[in-house]
Order: sequence, then C-alpha cells, then structure tokens
Amino acid sequence: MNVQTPEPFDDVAAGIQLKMILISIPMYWLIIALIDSGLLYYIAKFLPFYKVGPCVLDDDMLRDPDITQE
Amino acid sequence: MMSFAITIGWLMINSSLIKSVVGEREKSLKNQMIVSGIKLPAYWLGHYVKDIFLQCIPSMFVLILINAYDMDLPQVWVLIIINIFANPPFLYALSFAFAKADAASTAVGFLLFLVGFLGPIALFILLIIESTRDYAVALKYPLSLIPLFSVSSGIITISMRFFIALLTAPEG
Repeated sequence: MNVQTPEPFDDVAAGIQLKMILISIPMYWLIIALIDSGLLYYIAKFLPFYKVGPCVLDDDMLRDPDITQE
Repeated sequence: MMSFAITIGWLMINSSLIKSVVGEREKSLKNQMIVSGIKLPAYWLGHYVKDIFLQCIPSMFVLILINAYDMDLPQVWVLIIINIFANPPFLYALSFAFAKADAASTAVGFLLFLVGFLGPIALFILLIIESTRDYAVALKYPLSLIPLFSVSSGIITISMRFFIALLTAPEG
C-alpha cells in the first residue's frame, strides 16, 4: 500500500476544520445581529410555545384588584 | 500535546473575553452606551477590535514557539490566525445565554474544556476505530464550528496527517 503524506489542509487532515471555522465567522455575526436587533425575539413571539420574556400587564389584568394588589 | 497546551491557554483568554461582554450587560453599561447614542454595530466593532488585539499577543507567542522548536506543523499558522478572528464572534453569540459575568466565565471555561480539550481526543479515538470512523467524520463538521475545537483538532490532525491517511486509505 502506497500512502503519500497529505497536504495540511486536505480533508483527511485539517481541511474540514478550516472550512468550518471560516463559515463560522459570518454565521456567529448573523446570530449576534438577529439577537441584538431583537429580530429573533420578534419572530419567536409568533411561535405557539413562546413563553420567555417580560410579562406585560394588559388592561384586564390591571383592572383585576387581586393582581394589582400583589 | 502542543494542541492541549494551546487549548488550556486559550480557555483563560476566552473566559476573560466573555466576562467583559457579559459584565457590561450585567452592570447595564451596554444599555447606558446605547442610550448615549452608540450604535450597536459600533459597540460590537469596538469589542471585536479590542479582542483581536488581545488575542494577537498569545497567538504570536504560539507561532514563535512553533518555529523556535521547529515543530512539524506546516501551515498551522493559518488556523491560529483565523482563530483570532473567529473566536470573538463565537463568544459574543454565546454571551447572550448568560446574565452573570462570573457564571459565564466559569461555564465557558468548562464548555470549552470539554469541546476543545476532550473533544479532539474523543474524535481521534473514534477515527482510529474502524467501526466508528463514519461517526467521527460526521461529528467533525458541527464541532468544527467552535473555533477552539477547530484549532485544537486541526493541530492534532496536521501533526498526525500521515497516520490518519494511512488509517483511512482504501486497502489494495
């Protein structure tokens, strides 16, 4: 079996790592932009299981003396 | 061995980087800056430039030592230089998961110890065993999105590239 030493950035060596680390830079900036601009929370609000976030009292709750006294 | 030394060193740098970002949010400094008129891109760019300079110093030392000891790690400088630019956005994105700076620092240290130190060892063992080799290749892609894993695993695979090629070569 004749095996040659691969280049450092061939896929058998560190090629995959190099590709993924380069992809990760814009990917993480996109995540930061989505979270920090509030766009991610805005989208998440439309999801049926969305429960996270500050509790906002609506008018009915404010009129309810049991809630406002707490 | 060299990759593990780099990983351990980088854990401390990462902990301090995330601590500053979460700390600013914890003390409402970020809020204060934004109220004062700083735009979000300017805020992140400021952090990014500062963190790149901060990481340049240990990276240069790593490259100098690799050359000084004449290690067989060709072109590994590419990974180390790219890591300087890839590491801060990863930590900034991760910082949104934490509210307390100390908790963030400890958790990131532990997480990156698992991924950057134990991950490459586990992956290498999976790669050696023939029946688990496919899992190793499949795991390499998502894990490599974490910069510290990429550098650590990249150094191991570059230094052992002939051995890996020998293992994965088709028979005949």
